[in-house]
Order: sequence, then C-alpha cells, then structure tokens
Amino acid sequence: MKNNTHIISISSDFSKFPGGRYDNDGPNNAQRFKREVLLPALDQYEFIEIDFEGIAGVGSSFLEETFGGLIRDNGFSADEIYRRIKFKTRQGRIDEIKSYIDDAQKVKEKKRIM
Amino acid sequence: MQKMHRRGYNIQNGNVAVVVLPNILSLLDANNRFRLRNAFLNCIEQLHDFAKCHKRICIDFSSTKYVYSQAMLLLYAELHNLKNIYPKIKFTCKKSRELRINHVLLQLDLFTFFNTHYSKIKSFNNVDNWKTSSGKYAIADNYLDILPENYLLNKEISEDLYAACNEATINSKDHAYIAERALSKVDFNKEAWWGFSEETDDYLSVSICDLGVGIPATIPSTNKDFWEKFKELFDAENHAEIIARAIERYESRTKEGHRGNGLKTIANFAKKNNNISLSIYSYKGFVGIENQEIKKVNCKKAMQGTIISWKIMKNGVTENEK
Repeated sequence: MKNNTHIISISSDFSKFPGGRYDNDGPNNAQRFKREVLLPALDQYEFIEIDFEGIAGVGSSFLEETFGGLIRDNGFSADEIYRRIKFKTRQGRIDEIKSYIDDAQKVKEKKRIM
Repeated sequence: MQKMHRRGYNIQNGNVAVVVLPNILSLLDANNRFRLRNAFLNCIEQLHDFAKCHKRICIDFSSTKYVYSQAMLLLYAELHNLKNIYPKIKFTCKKSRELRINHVLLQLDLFTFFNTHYSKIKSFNNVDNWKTSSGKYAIADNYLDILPENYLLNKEISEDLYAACNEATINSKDHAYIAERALSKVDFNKEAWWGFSEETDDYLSVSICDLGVGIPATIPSTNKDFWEKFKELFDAENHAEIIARAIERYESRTKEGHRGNGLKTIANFAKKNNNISLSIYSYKGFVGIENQEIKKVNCKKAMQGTIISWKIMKNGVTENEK
C-alpha cells in the first residue's frame, strides 16, 4: 500500500528555472524532472500535488514532455494522471497541461487502433 | 597609406582590417527603403570576410550616432561567435564621437572584448539598464543576467516572459543550426543564442538572437499541402508571410506531433496582452505584432539569423510603479 499524498514543489525539489525537454536542452529539463523527482514520487505515493509556486516560469516544452511524456514513455493513461496528480498553479497553466495530456492520450489510442 | 575598398571598408597598413560602421545601426528602416539595414548588414558581411584572412580587425564606431538594440545585439552576437571560431583574431575598436554609444559599448562589456580602455565620462540612465546573456542550452538561471530576480513585473507576465525566452532559446539550439548559413559557421556548442534586455522608464525590452539559417528555412514539411504553400512563399521571397503563418500554425520540423509549440508560446505572450508587442527579424522577413495587429515587411537583404524581441510597456504590468 503506497503512502497517501506527497507535495512536489518544483522550485524547492527541482529548480526555480525549469526548462527544456531533453537532457541536451540543459540541466533543468523535463526528462530529468520526471526521472529524478516525479516518477520516484509516483512510485512511492498514491497522490501527488505539484506546486508551481516560486518558479521563474515554465515553457510548453517542459510541460508537454513531463505530462504528455508520462503517457508516451512511462505507461500512464490520462485517467490515471488526472486521478493521481493535482496541480497547484493558475488555471491557464492547468488547462495547458491538460491539453498536452489529452493530446498524448489521443495519439496513444490512435496508434493502438492502427 | 589607406586603401579604400569598393564596398566601403579600409585596410590600413596591410594588416589591420577596419570595418567602418554606419551612423545608425538598424535592421529596419522606418520608410522600408532598407538603406540603413543594407548598410549595417554589409558591415556584418565585411566583418566575416575579414575574419577569414586577417588577424587584426578594428570595428570603427566613430561615425555611429545611434544604435537600435536589435542591431546592436546582432553585432554583439556576431563578434562573440567570431571570437569563438577564430580565437586568435585580435579585435579592437575606434570609439564613437557620441558618449552615449561609448556608454553602450561599456555597458555591454565590449571595451573589454576590444581590449580598449574607456573611462565613463557621462552616464546615460537607459543604457545603464542594458544587459546581456548567452548560452548553449535553453535559458535557465542565466535568465537572471538579463532580468534580475527582484524585477517588478506582475507574476503572470513575468512567468510568461521566462517561458517565451525559454522556448526561443530552445528553438535556437534545436532548429536554427540545421544547415550552414552563408556567413562563417557558428560554434553553437559554445554559444547558440545571445540574450539582451533594455529597460527604460516606460518599457522593458527583451530579445533573443541566434545566428542560424532563419525561420523561413526551418519550416517543416509534415503537411504536404501546407508545405507547398510555404515553398511558394519561400521561392517568392515572401519571408514575412512565412513567419506570420508559422506563428499561426507551426508544425514541428522534427515531425514529432507533440513538439512545435515553442513559436506559439513566443507569439501568444504578445497576442494575449495589449501591453506587449513582439518583433521577429529572421532572414529577409520582419513580423511585428502589436495590439493584435500584425505588420509584415519583406527586406531585400537577408540577415543570417533570427532575433525575437518582446517589448513590455510598464504601465499596467508591473507590480509597483517604479
């Protein structure tokens, strides 16, 4: 049985300056965030709250690779992400993240049908 | 004994090549006749010509009376890249007769670059707030070089500006150098982009520059019909239209469906806020977005690179009025 809820503060637990998609985009990239922070937390805890407070900002590449990438590369479904991860940030950013999750899910289903 | 070259530069004593900059450094003329742009870009070309065969190059600012920040950023980037690829070249300069221009060179640390001593005689408030940065990765904590942490933009604008700069620098490193450009190569493993900020009482301007092949040459071919239209525009040298359409509907050059949101992020930052304008200079095209209106200009002479610049009017977007 996993522990219940864990809060990830991107600024404290990762970087105030997240950015980029891959390791060759720089040290604060999304794949490293997933590998070192998000996936270990998802292994250990049932529910995750991701807090964006304190970061300088975050680009679309980082958001897409992190959350779309969970579906594309890490075997998660959109339903599981919505059930287990909550976002503490402004609504516009939450909508953007959801669009990446939904798009990645659509692509995954399309590939499954093909 | 001086020898005057037909393109307007001097070679003095056979060993110091001198690039004489025009009186105004600009990438866009107000009347769209491109005289200023052509003169400035000719000097950039001369600089590259000299770099191939001279060990000493002097940049002559003596006639320069006014510099637009985007042109200054391009010159700054070209000089630093040339130093990266030709480390043995000794760059020097001839100071401007205008104290303000010399203050710009001092502020951008170019007098150190030129190994030239200069004592500031007079300070110009706006120039004190010119800042630069550069990098080979996506912008991260080096963002603080151009925008201090205590800068008083409101939170959402501040975060969106960082995101836009982040995407612009990713585009620079991922897309700009897919092919060789007409001028000297770029050592993008040392520096792939150069950033610049300028603050006045009324606005904050932030720019990201790369020295790549330009947006029109990096447009994707994922959708054949779409690409065919781009190709026609490219052949017709309507580069401004290509950039404008790329903003509207960018499809990733990488052919990976989940990629390609960067240019949208860059543009939407300006599109959704009337206090923010966007200027994109790339190859022969210029696109400006201000108050939801889009301006397109096709220039005759290509710049070898891309500059993306946001101008944020302070009124209404700062936490506290300065």
